[in-house]
Amino acid sequence: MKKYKNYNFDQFVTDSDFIQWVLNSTVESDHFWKNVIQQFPEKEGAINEAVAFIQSLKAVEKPIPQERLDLVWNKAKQAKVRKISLQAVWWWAAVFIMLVGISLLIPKIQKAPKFNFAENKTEQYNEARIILPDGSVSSIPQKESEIKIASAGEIIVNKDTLNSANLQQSQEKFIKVVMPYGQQTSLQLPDGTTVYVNAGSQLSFPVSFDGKKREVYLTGEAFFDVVKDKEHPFIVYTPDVDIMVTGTEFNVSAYSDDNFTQTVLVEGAVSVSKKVRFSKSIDISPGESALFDKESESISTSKIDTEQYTSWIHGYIICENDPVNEVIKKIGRYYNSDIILDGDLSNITFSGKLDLKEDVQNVLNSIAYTSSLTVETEHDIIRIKN
Amino acid sequence: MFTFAYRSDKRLMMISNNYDDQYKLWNKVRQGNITVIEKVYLDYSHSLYQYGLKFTQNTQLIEDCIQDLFSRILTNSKNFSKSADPQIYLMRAFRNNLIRLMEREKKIQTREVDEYQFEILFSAEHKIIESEEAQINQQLLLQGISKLTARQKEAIYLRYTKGLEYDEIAGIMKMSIESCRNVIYKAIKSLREEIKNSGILLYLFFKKRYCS
Repeated sequence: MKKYKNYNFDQFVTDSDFIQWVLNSTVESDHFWKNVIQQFPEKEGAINEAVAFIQSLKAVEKPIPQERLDLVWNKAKQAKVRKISLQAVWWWAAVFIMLVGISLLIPKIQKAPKFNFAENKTEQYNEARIILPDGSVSSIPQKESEIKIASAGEIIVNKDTLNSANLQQSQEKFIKVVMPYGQQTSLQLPDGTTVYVNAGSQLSFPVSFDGKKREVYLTGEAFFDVVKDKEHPFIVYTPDVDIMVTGTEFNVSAYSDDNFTQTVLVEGAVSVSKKVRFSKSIDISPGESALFDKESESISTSKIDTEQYTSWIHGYIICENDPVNEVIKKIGRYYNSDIILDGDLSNITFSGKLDLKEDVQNVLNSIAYTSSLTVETEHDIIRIKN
Repeated sequence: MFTFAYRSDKRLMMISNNYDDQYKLWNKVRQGNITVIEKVYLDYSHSLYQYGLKFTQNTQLIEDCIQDLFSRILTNSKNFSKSADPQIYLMRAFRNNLIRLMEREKKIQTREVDEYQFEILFSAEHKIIESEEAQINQQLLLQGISKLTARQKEAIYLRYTKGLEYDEIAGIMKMSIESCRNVIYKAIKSLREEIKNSGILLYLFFKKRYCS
């Protein structure tokens, strides 16, 4: 308390205890400062002056309505919630944009090619043959043949067993069946699946289906009667689409000189997908066709008469309002004949059944007759005129 | 002597208890305890609002600043410093934000940044003046107040209305304790000059109340 002996206005007015007393006096502090005045009566003037001074400097505070403050608090709470959700929204938006960006990039990424289809293009089509994993070639002279791949790795062509001693040791490679124009074969795969390989087609498949999937590679046309095995899906890879099935009958036409790849389902279920990663696969039901257009790179489905597409395995072609040029293309493949179309025939259609056991000339004549076309033969070249 | 020692000790104890309490309270705030944050709001929002009114009469702006301050506390209180006196932290953060927003508004309106305003309605202006003598004194004090800078007025307000210590004021106004002391000292000195020059004693008016 002694320090107050030397206090004057300036000291009192800046003394924290003194200020606290003036601002919030308590019984205690009142008592204390009265004591100070009693002890140093000469300070009373300075103390009173300082009190008055501090009192005058005290700001007049407007009372704030509690409703305003409650409102602000509620807004603050809401803003907190909104802030978090807004943050979350931005976060998810960023994730979404990233995913969209990635998905835009992905279609450009082709699935890793498991099989080099380009090799097929350079393959000579002049004779039917089986190419074994070790590179050895067995030719098949018959116009129609039967090939059976037994599960033991035995290859039986028209009931004759091929010498295939090295087959088991080279399981990673494929057996390739090449059918030139004019020849077709029925082939039994190790799992029992029957494949009719049409003229001008190639089918590659492993010596035995050991993996989780049964995978075969096709260019050209083939009809598949797949043995049911849900555990091991059967997949037909073509240059443009992949067809996945478990057990079913269907026809795939994937000729490189056609501008389409067509899958026609007779029985069961298949899903067709494009060769791009994460592309949605299209399921088709019996009696439907999935047509991949090579130009637009899109798949369209439609109802069709399956017999028209599968009749070739029984040796005839059924046509119904089919463009004549398409029909003649098929015939040309089957007979391996050079047929030249003179003039624009794309608008002319043909309906009817063509027996492929007949001579090519007869077949063409029957088309020419119903479609009022003329057929001319000069050496080996057949010319069809409008 | 005895009374002072007793009181002094008690005050010291009170402060240290208070400090401990505040520290615990602040830790709960940092943990995002909504009940504690609401209590802090109830304790300080009123005072912050009144503080804000010294800077601007734009109540919307003040409310926005308080709302923003508390929604920030509610959202990421973890990022706040470990030890802080809630009152000082709140006042400092509120002041910063308010001044920033006022400057932005001013920029939009006049395209120039000025020093902020700090207007206080002092008791001296507000009191119902009893005697003519006191009235003159009040007038003189008011003259002196009108000559103070915004910073001086603010420091005076924090010291003589809020009863804050120098270090606390320095913390809020972002200055050193030394310059805070100086600002207040100079303000008092200039106010004293006004009254001294008039030769009349201000205290007469208050004498009866405190020193009877």
